[in-house]
Amino acid sequence: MKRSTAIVLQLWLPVLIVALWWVLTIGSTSLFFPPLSEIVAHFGHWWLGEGFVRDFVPSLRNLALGYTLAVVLGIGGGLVIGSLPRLREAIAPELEYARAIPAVALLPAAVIILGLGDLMRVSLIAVGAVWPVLLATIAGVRETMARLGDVETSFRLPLHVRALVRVQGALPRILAGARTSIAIAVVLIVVSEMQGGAYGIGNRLLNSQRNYAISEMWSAMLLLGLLGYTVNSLFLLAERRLLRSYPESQNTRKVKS
Amino acid sequence: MTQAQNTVSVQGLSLSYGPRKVLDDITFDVGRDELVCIVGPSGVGKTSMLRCLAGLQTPTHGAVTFTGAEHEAGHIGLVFQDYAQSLLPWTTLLENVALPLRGKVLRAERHRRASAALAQVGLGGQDQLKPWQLSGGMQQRVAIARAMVGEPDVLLMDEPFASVDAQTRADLEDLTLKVRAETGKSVILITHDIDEAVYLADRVIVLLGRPAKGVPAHLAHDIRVNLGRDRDQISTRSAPEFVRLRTEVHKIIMDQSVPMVGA
Repeated sequence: MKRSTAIVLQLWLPVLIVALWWVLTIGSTSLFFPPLSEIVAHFGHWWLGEGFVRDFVPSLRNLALGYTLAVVLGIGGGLVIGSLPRLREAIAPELEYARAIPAVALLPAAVIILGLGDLMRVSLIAVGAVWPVLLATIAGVRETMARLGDVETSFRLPLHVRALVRVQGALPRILAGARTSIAIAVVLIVVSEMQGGAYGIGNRLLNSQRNYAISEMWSAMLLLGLLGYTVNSLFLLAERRLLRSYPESQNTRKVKS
Repeated sequence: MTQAQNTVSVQGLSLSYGPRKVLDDITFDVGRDELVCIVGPSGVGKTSMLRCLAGLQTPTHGAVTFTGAEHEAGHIGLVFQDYAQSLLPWTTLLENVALPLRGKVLRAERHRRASAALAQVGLGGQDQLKPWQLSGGMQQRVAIARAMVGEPDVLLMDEPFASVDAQTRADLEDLTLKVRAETGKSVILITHDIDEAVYLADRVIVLLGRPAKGVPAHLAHDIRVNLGRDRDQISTRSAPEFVRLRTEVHKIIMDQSVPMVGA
């Protein structure tokens, strides 16, 4: 009963929007707003057919590689920078500056330096998505050290145990940063495929628009929306699991029960 | 008690923060299984001294030397004032207590020792709970178990019972005496509570001074407490010797405070 109520509360709006979209575009002859049935038909034909391997899989792979790289570099770099107050103070302005550059603006430089291949796409996603994880890790490690630094020192914990304690202490913040990074990474798949590629969701999206294949364009947008939503949902699930033993998660659990 | 039985020896300890001298030439020894309480007016520098003993602060002059062999987790086991801040909230009591042995002792052995330490502080069989599932007093028991797990020479406690209620405080005081009796370790306990100091200690060391006004803390008195080893919250605290000692220490601290007000 409770579960079904939750499902209804989550789904009523999307269902309503899709239904309205479907009904309002049934006899549409507009070039820009083709009938939803046509978009769905194309979605089934392309994205569940040939396009799955040709366009979807490469984009997903680039997303996975770039995002993983961003998270690993963000946590590793954040741990080092957060652990060394001198270093942190020395490079804080540079970090703020680098973070403020919109990742999209890096595309021209990335193309010139790294070419038009997947290396460029993965790098662009990684460089764009690294900042929220990096800054969250720095802040989390700082807080943990302020709290547990004396514990680490007085028990003479070896370096790798200190690193582990700091990352565990920073985990709630790291995960919040990593969730922001996902949104950025999804944007950057599309951006990175707008130049030079012959495959990928973003490439498909841009080409279909240029060729006035409007149903195809809409179906690519639909796919991106679904991709972003699915990745985010999976992340929330993982986050809840990882934070299960943290006291912060107890309040939300109590509210729910 | 001969010199050979000392576990820790503090010699000529001085500490300055820049031009401001906080501790001045503090010298004392602590014998094996001796419990020493350090008292003094607030702001006198008790915590600064503890940080020097714990190796968290390098003294400007002087040295703290330990006679025992080097242990995995160092010579001292530190119990912090704020238990809620010093335990790792995300992991179990077992892992919390085993922390000082991480990276030094194999997992099975680590867990065996941590489990035994938890049993010693009265938390046997609760290995898998998380710290935030316990009351404050119980959390401080975990902190004591963690400090003892590396079998240090000295258990060092910084105002350990300052933030628990009176009954819990009495329980933790008696637990400290029990742990000392069972392990034979030295204990140095810093407190602002004179009654607590006299109740627990074999010796009460009184620090006097006013570092904020330019008078660094010095060791003013080193008082032996002849109340025997068997202490009891009711009979010990009403014994004439207890009352005499607590009055004496109170007077020492009050006398120093009065003229300082005008200074």
